[in-house]
Amino acid sequence: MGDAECLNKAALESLQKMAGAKFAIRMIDLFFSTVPPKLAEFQPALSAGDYHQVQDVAHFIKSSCRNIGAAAMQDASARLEQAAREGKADAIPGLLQEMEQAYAAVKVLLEEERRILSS
Amino acid sequence: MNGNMTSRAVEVLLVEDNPGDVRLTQEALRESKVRNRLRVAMDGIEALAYLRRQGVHANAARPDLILLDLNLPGMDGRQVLQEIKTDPSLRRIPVVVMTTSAAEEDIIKAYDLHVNCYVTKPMDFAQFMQVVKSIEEFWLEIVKLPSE
Repeated sequence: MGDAECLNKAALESLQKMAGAKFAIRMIDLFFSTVPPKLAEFQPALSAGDYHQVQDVAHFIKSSCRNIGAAAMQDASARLEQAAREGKADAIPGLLQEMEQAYAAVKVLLEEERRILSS
Repeated sequence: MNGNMTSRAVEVLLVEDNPGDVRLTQEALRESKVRNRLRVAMDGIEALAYLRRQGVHANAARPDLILLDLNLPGMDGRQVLQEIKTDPSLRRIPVVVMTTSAAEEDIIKAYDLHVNCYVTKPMDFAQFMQVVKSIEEFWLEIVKLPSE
């Protein structure tokens, strides 16, 4: 997966242009403080067979990704939300794995963007 | 400009569970021409408690405008909208649904529940700012609202 697929830099550029670098940094920090705890909610929800909770968590993460331009993760969370809504249990583990990989990739890119914005 | 809003800050209640979306809305309203005070409810239960001045919200100000997300934990936005629009003491408060959903069924359901308008959140922050500004201009400056 390419960097541009992981992170749509236009989103961060828009935040920076409209509200300044500090605001863009705050949004990155907010992403890091809210998304990992949400990712950790998937397994307990799946173990309980609570697809509604999986759908809610995926929706939350999708919104967080949209705000920051985490494009691949946003796409994976949208598909996970849909799969959970439709009760497609077989598709969910693969989508979860895809989402965790997308998070690992975008985390590196966002940390670099944060470093550039801070300098 | 709304005559009844010239001397005090306009009260806006945002019902939204995602802190990122809350932060973006705060930033967009911070740029507003109209002096406003934004209150945030993170879920539907808290929103209704705020509107009905229950518990810690006993002294809550009545909102002039409600910005409502549809996907909320627990009681979702559709239920919150139904509660507001069937409550004689709340139903005149304008409710703007702001959501990522462009699903026709969500749009129809929201209007069936008497939402005042339905807006899909844009992807781009510049567009998001423009949308919030347009909502603010229309609902807080152009239209005439009842005082209660």
